[in-house]
Amino acid sequence: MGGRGVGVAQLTYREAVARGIAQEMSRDERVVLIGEDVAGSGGVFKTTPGLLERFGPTRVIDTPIAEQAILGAAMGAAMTGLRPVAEIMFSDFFAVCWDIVANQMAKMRYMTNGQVSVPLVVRTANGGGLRFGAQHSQSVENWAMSVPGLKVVTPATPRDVVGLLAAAVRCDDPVLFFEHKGLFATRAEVPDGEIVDALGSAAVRRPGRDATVLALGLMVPRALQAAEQLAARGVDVEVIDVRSLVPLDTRTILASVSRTGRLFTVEENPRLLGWGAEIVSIAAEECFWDLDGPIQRITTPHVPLPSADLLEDTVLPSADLVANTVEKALQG
Amino acid sequence: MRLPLGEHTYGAQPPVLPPGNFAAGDTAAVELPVRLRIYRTMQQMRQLEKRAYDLFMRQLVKGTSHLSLGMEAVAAGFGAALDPADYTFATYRGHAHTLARGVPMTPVLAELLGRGNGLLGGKGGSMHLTSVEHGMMGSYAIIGAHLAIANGAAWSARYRGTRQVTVCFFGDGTTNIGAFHEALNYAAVYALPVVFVCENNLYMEYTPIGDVTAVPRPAADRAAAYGLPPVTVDGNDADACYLAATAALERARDGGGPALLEAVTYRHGGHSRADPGSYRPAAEVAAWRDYDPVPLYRGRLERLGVEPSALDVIDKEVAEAVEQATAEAIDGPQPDPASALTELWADGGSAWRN
Amino acid sequence: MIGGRTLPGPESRHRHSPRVRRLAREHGVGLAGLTGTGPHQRVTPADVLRAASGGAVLATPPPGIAVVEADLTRAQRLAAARQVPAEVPLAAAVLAALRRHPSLLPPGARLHLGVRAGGRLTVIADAGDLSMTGLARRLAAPQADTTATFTLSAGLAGGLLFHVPRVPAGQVAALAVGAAVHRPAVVLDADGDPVVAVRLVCHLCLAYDESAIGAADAAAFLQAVRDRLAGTGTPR
Repeated sequence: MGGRGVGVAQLTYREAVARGIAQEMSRDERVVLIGEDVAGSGGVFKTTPGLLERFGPTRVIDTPIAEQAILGAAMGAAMTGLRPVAEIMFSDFFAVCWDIVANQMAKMRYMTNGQVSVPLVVRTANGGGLRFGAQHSQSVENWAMSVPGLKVVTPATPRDVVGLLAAAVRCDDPVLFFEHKGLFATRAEVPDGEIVDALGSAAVRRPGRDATVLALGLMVPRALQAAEQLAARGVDVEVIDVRSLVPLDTRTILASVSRTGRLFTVEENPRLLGWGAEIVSIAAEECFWDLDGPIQRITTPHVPLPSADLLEDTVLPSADLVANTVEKALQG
Repeated sequence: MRLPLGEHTYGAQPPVLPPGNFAAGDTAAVELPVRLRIYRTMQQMRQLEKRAYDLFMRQLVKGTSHLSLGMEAVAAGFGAALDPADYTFATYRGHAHTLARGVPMTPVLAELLGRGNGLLGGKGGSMHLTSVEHGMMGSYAIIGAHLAIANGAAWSARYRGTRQVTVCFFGDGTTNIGAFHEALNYAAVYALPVVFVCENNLYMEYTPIGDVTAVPRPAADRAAAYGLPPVTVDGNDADACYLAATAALERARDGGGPALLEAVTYRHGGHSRADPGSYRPAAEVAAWRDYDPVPLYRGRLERLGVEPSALDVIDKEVAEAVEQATAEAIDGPQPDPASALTELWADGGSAWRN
Repeated sequence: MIGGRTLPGPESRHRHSPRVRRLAREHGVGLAGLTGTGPHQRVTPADVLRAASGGAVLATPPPGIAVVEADLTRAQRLAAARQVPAEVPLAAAVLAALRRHPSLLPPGARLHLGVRAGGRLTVIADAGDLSMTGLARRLAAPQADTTATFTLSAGLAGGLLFHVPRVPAGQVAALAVGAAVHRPAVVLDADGDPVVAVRLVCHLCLAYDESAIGAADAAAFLQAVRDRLAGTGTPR
């Protein structure tokens, strides 16, 4: 660490959520947290323990099961001087309150020609792999990506949880923050002190020459595992953690594609209109003359997620699937 | 199974008639200066909405518009009771509620005409009139959504320690949608300083509200479900509205929690510009046209000793203001095409990539 | 299962990719009859470039170049205070920047820093975590043969502003430090107001393999070195 005495700690992804929220709440008293079971019980996924004790009941609030009311309240408060962080327990539940997200939060500033700001964050537990069944397992960040007026981020590491949450809270626009429930238990180094990242920046997790592999959330560690398998077979892929769908770091992504000439995405969304569909269309348009082979999207098929472990593992893209797909494509 | 259109033909439901004795409200404890202010505001609303109708018929107003003709007393009565720092949330039928907060007429008309000098720069239109500087926190076009949002403004006021109250206007149809129930429960649980006002004009768009609601009074009969007392008021008596408003606002301001008010009124026109309103029985329409809040209020003021000539002066001043606003709106510039890509984000832009 | 798609059929394997077509266009190479060395005898970009150079084994393409001006005043002060050679703070700044920009190293490579100064090349193996004192020690008493994965050259510019370093085989970038001279410069005083002061400045020249490193990465790396030398870089 260069001898400057900057400490690090091993944190789990779920601990990082509480750390990020606490970091921002202690910095700015306008930041408040609301959601179902977030206060007294520290969150159904234990992502918000200790916050009620530290910041008190006026700033950390347990709500009824009423997603429209929760997000409506967050929006009204954001319009009038607060900076709320609201939780939607499972991202599938966004469908219950999608009007507030897509018709209200996203559009209000534009419709009023800038009179209104909506500086809030909606956090949610997204994604599958835990056998929770179809209505508690979908990845829906692609829904949010398609709505003008929403910013969308998905951290894949504990450090990014803290840094991107801080950036989201400090952003004056509505940000949907997709935590991945399959990553809550993962553990990694997080530096001490304040961490603030930037929205709209992707991270090259593994530099490489032969192909660009884009991944998000749970698919990032799987893409990295695939990269290790491929390295042993003589194929050197670059893995990029996209991190931010809106704003999108096209510069980093397209620079990589123009270098490697091959592009693959690893998407947990069901096949149609997953987040990668938009990115590959941009690459096909803007990097066409750098492509040395067809772009391929590696996705969950177009079905809801089944609950049985064998079935869920069959449909979610695995490291093996990614490695085999890339290798075969480069050979063909 | 019970089917409303099996019980009566469309448009032939039993008429719902207005209350009988408007003069009994003459003795309401409202001071004369307030009453004169209310009268002027109702005239502004009446004349502006009529002008909006004319401009629509001249095809200068595009899309659709939902006019408040006949419903001025609720907006004006409440408007007179609000503090400048209070928040208003309204539906897409929001022109009157916008004027009630003191928003000038020119930007309102110009917005309907889609001009650059419109209240929203031509970006929002009739259904989204908003003026944050006047506390008018928006007109909302999805039924029920803004009740939940109003809760947030009320929460924010409590959190920041101010005495601001949020007033949220909506129609009878709103009382059957999920967001209404979520918002009322939420407001009651947290004792938020928010006053919910149902403007019951007896019709959910093109359908009599009684045909689609499980209880006779769509808002008042739901209040008990949220621990609130039922409150109904003659929505065409601006003084009654004013007094109901001040009571609810003061209680909320002092920490007494939310209120749910039901104001019964009637719209003169259809649901929107496109609607001739032929689903309402002729006798009902006629009776309510006789119970028109604006001439009724004028009659009260004259009975209370106000000179008709003084009221004529107000009428004329409003007429001149409407003329001027019309001219300024029609002469208003087309919006800059580049503005279609502005103000998506707080930085004023709309960029989603680098 | 890849979302139910089937892969392109065998006939597509013989088509020329957009990249191949572009390179052929740019280099005036006719694709008809060109033998491909890719899978299923497909023409690869390398095949086109080989044909463009008359069939010769392709020499390394010329490197990308990036240059930035750096303020060495603070670095010189540090070196004097700790009684270490001038290359030491330079090496420390380069190491800090390499940790933040690993694309400036060959993929998967460890950080073995080659330092060319005073007429000789010293390779510091696993230089990543070394402090300035550690660096100074290793420079004075180098360990036995390790191949560098990044090379820093100082003192070779003579009187020139900068020279372009050669990128050694197996490395993807190299940095050369130009002549350090005293120049007037605008700095901020204690109150934050701009004043003219005499500073020790030099040019840093980065040569890099453009097929491995993007121009934006190269620029960001150079700026990180400059900022670190000036004391304004972000600690890791």
